[in-house]
Amino acid sequence: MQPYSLHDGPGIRTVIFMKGCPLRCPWCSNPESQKRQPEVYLDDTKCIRSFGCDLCDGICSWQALKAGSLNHALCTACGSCTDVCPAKAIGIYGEKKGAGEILDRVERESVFYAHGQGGMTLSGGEPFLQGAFALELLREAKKRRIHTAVETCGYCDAENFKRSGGISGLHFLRYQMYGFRKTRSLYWAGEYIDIGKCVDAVPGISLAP
Amino acid sequence: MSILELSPQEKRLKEAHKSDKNKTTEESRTRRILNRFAGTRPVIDVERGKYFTESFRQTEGQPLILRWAKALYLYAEKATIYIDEEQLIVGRAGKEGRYGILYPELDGDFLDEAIKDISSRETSPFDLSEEDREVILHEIAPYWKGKTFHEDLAKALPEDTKRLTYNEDSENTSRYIVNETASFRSSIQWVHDYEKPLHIGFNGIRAEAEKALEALDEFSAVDTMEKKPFLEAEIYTANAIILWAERHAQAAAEKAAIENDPQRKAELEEIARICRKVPANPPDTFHEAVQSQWFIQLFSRVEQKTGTIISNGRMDQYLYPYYKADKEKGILDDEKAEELLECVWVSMAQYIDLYLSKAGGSFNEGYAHWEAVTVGGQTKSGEDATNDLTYLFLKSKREFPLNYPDLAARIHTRSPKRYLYEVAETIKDGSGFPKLINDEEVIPLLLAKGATFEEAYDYAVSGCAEVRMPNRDTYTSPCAYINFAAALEMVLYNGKMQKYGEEVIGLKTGEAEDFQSFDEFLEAYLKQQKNFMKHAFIQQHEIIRLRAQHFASPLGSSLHALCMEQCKDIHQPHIKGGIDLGYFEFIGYGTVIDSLAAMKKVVFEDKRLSLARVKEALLHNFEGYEIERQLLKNAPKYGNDDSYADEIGKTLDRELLEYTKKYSQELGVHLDLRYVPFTSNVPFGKVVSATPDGRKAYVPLSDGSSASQGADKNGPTAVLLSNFATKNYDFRNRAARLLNIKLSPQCVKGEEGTEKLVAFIETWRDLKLWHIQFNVINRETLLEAQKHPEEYGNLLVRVAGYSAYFCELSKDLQDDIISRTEHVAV
Repeated sequence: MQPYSLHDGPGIRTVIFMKGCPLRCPWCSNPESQKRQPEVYLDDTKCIRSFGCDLCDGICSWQALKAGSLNHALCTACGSCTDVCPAKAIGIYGEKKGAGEILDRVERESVFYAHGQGGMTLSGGEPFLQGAFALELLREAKKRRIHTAVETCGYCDAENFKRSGGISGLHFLRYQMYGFRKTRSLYWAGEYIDIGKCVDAVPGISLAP
Repeated sequence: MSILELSPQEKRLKEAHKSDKNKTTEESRTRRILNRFAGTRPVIDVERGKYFTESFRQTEGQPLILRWAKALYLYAEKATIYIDEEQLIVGRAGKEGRYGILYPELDGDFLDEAIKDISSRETSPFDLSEEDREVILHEIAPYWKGKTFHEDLAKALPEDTKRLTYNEDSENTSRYIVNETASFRSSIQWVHDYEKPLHIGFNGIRAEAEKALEALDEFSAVDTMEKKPFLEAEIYTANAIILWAERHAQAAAEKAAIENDPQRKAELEEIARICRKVPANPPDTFHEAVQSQWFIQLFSRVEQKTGTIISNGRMDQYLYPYYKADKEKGILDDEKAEELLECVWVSMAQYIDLYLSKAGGSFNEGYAHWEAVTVGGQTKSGEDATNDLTYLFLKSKREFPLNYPDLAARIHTRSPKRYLYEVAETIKDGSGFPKLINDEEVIPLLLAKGATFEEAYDYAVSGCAEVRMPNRDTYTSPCAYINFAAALEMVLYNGKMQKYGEEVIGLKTGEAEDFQSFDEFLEAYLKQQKNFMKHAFIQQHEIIRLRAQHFASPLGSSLHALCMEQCKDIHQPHIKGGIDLGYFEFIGYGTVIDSLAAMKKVVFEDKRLSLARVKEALLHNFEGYEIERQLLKNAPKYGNDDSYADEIGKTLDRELLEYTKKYSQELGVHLDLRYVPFTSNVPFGKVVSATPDGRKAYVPLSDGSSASQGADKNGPTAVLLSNFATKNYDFRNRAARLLNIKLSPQCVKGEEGTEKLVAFIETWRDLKLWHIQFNVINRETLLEAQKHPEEYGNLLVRVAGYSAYFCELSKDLQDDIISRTEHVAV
């Protein structure tokens, strides 16, 4: 969750990055959000092994964490290692949170949304990959009178997309650089529709340029 | 890799370096004047010090206010008069170029020592000619030894108070713990009522005094011994400033007589005419009004060393009628008006506030100055006060990027959108102006202290972040800057500090290892904190008493309705009808909160480290204890909208408010809690060793109410929210909280960026935070400037309530500014 986001919609917004995306665009600016499941990461720049720290040795039951390096193939993302590092170099991308909890956090910044039409933006990853949850977030935000926006690649369940139109104020398409045809053949997964067709058919959706 | 977005200031610097000093003939008059002195070393001018000393020698035994007025008169008679090349607004208090003047009544006891390294010191150095050095050593310094306020205060303080205040050396240098600020300035920040002399002139002020003198009762001892000298002093003062202006008229006329250039000749003749007229008489035109105001603020600087330099009040309000009338008559256009104002700014820029004491110097790094010029806000009747002149001031700031004046913009709920946008555009320029003061926070507090609505609406910004109601504010005594990080250190070392060795300076709250719970630790800290407060208030008690014997301000008093009414000098402790607003300063807020939060989390809750272990790590300045340092560093911190830390902040704030609520009344002044450091967080840090928030020994403490350097990781919205969450709105004993926000130019790019900055400002306003100022700059630029200062001579950065040339700051302060979190747009 990222407050003071200035480039994800009008005004000052809090962005919710949702994990999981059907695409694997090489230019993705949030690659840690591509996989659906939580992932452990190790930030080398924070690691203080060179100062003699060895607190993470032997902590991993799966032997994925050894001598200050992380073997993703063995990691089950159980998260037991994330508390041990004093420098917070080990962490986990992706936490489970409920809609109410998330909106409570978003609402803390509501004094900033009052000006310039700020609010909450769903992003990720692809928010509609967790379609039902995305809709729940949008509904809860609407209930609390918080303006919403969604950043989507368009490769999502048509139904969810259509429904969100009625709830959310603004949708952004993020991947206009390359034609859909090209990416669809490479990264198709599940039943998806062309965003162009979808937009025409669905009321209430305005696209950001 | 993304391309670095540059602020307009950064772009200008790059271009200037490329074009290599290619001065075009289209350069404006004021640019040319500026280029003549920009970046040059200031010199000390001894005339003010010399004539004050000469006069004081002659007036021994006379009432102080009369002595002061006579000194002003002697200065007006004898000081060198300058008519600067190309200037339209004349008057200076020292030699050509940047200059500083002496106030031996303050520094006299160590003046001879202080001038020894004045040209070589790292912070704010000044040049001094050999001839002038002799004058100081033989004519000035000897007279004042044994006579200064500083010496009297040091003698008056009880032993245990003194131990927290001064080192045991001959100069009574500051210990930077409970730091009194009354011996390096004659007054706290101040704003005169500039409207009075504009309406009635000094002839009118003198007439007032003469009339009152006539009406005195010769049989009343008070009238004879107190009121009579006061009124005589006022008459002397009025005559002094009139004489001084008259001499300028003469000098200008003489210059005109021999001037060949017809345009300049005409200008000089006009200057002569104006200086004959003002400030003796009320001005009629904008040019006359500006010249009058300049004479007054300049003479005020000659009169005394007002902390932060005398502030200039609501210039867009009191100059407006003249601006408007002239425009309607067709004798003034915006270009000319801007030019006249710029003439004042470049004159202001040459007067450099000279601090001789080490404490004074280190609190005011980079030739600090806060001669606040207020724009915007509300009128006396609560309507929006923005006018065309307001916009001209903002425009002037953008087009003539100089770090003078210190522009302060008042913001309220109905501030026009255009005003907010132009304020944002000016901030985006990157030199740190204007700073913003929040009507919505300030006005209710002034009302709560007894101001009328009219007075509260009409407040002027003063100094770094304070406010003044001319004719109602009556408190001028500087107050304590308190190093609460030192209090925290005393908890760890049972009343001692690593810097001061075995000496027990604070309370003995027990050996740190014996604390069983966080509550015990916190209680010990609060005891140390309260002890500091006790001594700060003892200091204040003596300061108030002694100042009345050492300082008088006949000019300042002549411009104050209550002073004139009661024939009492403004520095006297009790002026009937006045509202006394003072303060005490919390230095190191972020550092203390973070340290307490770290102790609570890491030691007492998670039990990852024992207190003994933490102490060991601190004693070693974390060398070999990096794990411990990281654990402490990654505990919850202030500035992240994290209630874990913020709750502690709120408690600290509250404890202090409770103290002052109880104990300031008896001193006759509202001593409000403030978080305004100047640059004191740097020297204060130099006496505090490694702290439990992970801070290394002797580096700067956190500044103002900002998060500790680098601690704010959740963006500027979280910083504001933390600020809000740590305030106790149910108390009225609170004043300014200085808040610095550093943004990358990327954050505020383009029209969209301006919109978002406006949204941010509007939210700051709604949160009722007192102050905010922005640095819009890339970290890379600051690092570059450190490496190549010759290319970045003009780089201005916001420091603490003021903007300074980055390359004139000490390396410590430069590093401190670089380490402040830069919020980038993602």
